[in-house]
Amino acid sequence: MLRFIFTRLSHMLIALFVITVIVFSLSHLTGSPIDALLPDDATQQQIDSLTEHLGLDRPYYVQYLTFLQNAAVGDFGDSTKWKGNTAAGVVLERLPATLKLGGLAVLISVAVAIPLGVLSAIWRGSIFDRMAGIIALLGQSFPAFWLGIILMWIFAVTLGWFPTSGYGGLSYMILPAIAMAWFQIAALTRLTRSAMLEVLDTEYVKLARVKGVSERAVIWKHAFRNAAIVPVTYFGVLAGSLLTGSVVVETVFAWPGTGLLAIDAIRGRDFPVVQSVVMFFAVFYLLANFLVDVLYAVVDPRIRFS
Amino acid sequence: MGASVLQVKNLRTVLDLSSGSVPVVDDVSFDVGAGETLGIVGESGSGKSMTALSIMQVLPQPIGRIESGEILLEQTNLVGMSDEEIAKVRGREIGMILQDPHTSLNPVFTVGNQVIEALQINNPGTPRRSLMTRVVDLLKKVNVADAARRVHAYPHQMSGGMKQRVVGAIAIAGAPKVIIADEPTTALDVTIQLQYLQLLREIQDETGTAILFITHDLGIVANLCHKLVVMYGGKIVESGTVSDVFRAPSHPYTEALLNSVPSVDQKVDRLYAIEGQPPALSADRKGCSFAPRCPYAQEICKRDVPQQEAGLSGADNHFASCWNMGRKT
Repeated sequence: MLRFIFTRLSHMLIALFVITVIVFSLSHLTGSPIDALLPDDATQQQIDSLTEHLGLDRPYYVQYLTFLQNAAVGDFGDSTKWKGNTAAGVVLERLPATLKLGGLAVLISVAVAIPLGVLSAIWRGSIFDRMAGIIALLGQSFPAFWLGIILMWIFAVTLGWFPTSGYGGLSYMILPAIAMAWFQIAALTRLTRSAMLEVLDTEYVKLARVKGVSERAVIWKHAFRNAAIVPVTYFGVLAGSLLTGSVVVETVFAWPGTGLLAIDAIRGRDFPVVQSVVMFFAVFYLLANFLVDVLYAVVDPRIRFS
Repeated sequence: MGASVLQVKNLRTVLDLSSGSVPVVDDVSFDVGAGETLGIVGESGSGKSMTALSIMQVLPQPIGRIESGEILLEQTNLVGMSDEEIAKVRGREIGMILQDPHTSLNPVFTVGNQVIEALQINNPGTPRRSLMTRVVDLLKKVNVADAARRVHAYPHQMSGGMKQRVVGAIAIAGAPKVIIADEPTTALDVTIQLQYLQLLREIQDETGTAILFITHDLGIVANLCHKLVVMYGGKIVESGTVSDVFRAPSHPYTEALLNSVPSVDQKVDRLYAIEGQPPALSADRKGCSFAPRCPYAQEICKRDVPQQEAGLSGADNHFASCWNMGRKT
């Protein structure tokens, strides 16, 4: 098990290395930051002195190593838009809001999709199954920003049950969380359903039944434990896309998280902040997938022992 | 041979397919007594496994159902029982061994856990620790080597033969009156097959359990069973004691099956094979379902279903359903 975790961790480091290369190259592809920092009528001397000051005259690998060195300690430079703040500081300040909203969305997705998927597998072909199918179809057809606006219109504007937008307690989080979660509920329900159908058809489920195990234990202990691999796999994607999806939903609901920050930073050409947002997202993605790998091993002994 | 423990009377099981209700077990009757082994023989699709699943009432859902007939376990009819009642019969009264040991154990639980679960169902409230010693005893009884250590193993860490022994241990955990073995040796190596059959025989000698042995291997039937029923197209075409049926097969299908068993005494160039395919599932059937493949088929065979008659061996418990009995040329 320790060896397994160690291998996964080393894979994670390799991925992280590749990501830093990509982030570094992309930020150079978008053009020199000098153009954004200096006014259009700057003299050649001003340009040269800033280039030298920022180290942009040095070879790319030196620049990259410096970037890597600083990134390792969480230093992505100073924000150019939010003066007086470090880029990482700006992101860290916004991170809790995104994690709160994303966490609620994950919670809603799992709490709705798992029972929905399992029950529609058990009652395959029933009215319940068809309703779940419709919910899933709708979820996969609605874009999050559109769903957000519609939810806002119905539940905030017309019914007045929730505030329309902004930052606050649970009542502010419910509509954006639903807008983020619905698509995931759809995907997760379908995945859980088909995984359960496959497992319910296996011989070991039949053996559990013929040895006298109660139907409830057959489903939740014998079948679900095996089917869980599929939703667990999706969990990595889910956690990641809820963060990236937050860019859209946070903008619609004016939720001051990293998603909204990313949009603002891109508009303001604040590359240090964009870089640190991307790095934070990437690290989060990797951590989620690492967690998934560990969960795999917990669920399935064949992975643990190989 | 005691009084019959399990008696199946005129069982009819259907699958509700889009094309209509298709009988997969049609008017099947047999009985098996304590300490007795009944072989159910037939090709794939003959309805032998469906008969077993009907007895356990684990038919494919939602399409499978028992339409009529009785399944009597010591006078108690299992047909029409509630789900709770039938769950109490499974494992405790009737144990079952499935065909493929590689797929019939749950990959995510240790084999010890899977045997314990069977014991817990039969001894609710007994602490796990005291059951653990019984698990080891059970595994020893089915000849799992190094049982005390193996209880902690996962199925993927064991060989097929070992896994099938564990499945056997699960089947006998509830000390059932009947064990249904659905082709338990088909997926095993030939040498392991013999050991496994020997094991089943030992368990039977010790516990006096009745065994329903489903197979397509007539060699095993000759070796292990006291009685046999031959199924074709969901119906029993011939039944009797193993010695009577083997000595004087009365149904052309039985005869053909016996002819297709290789023999070490006779050298033949080519092994005999029954022409054609077993009948496909269909809602409306006329006449004898073996007629299209039968070398003796006449007009009446294609028109009317033959009734069961006493066979030719002279024994009063030897039956066959054929229009041609005694008229074969």
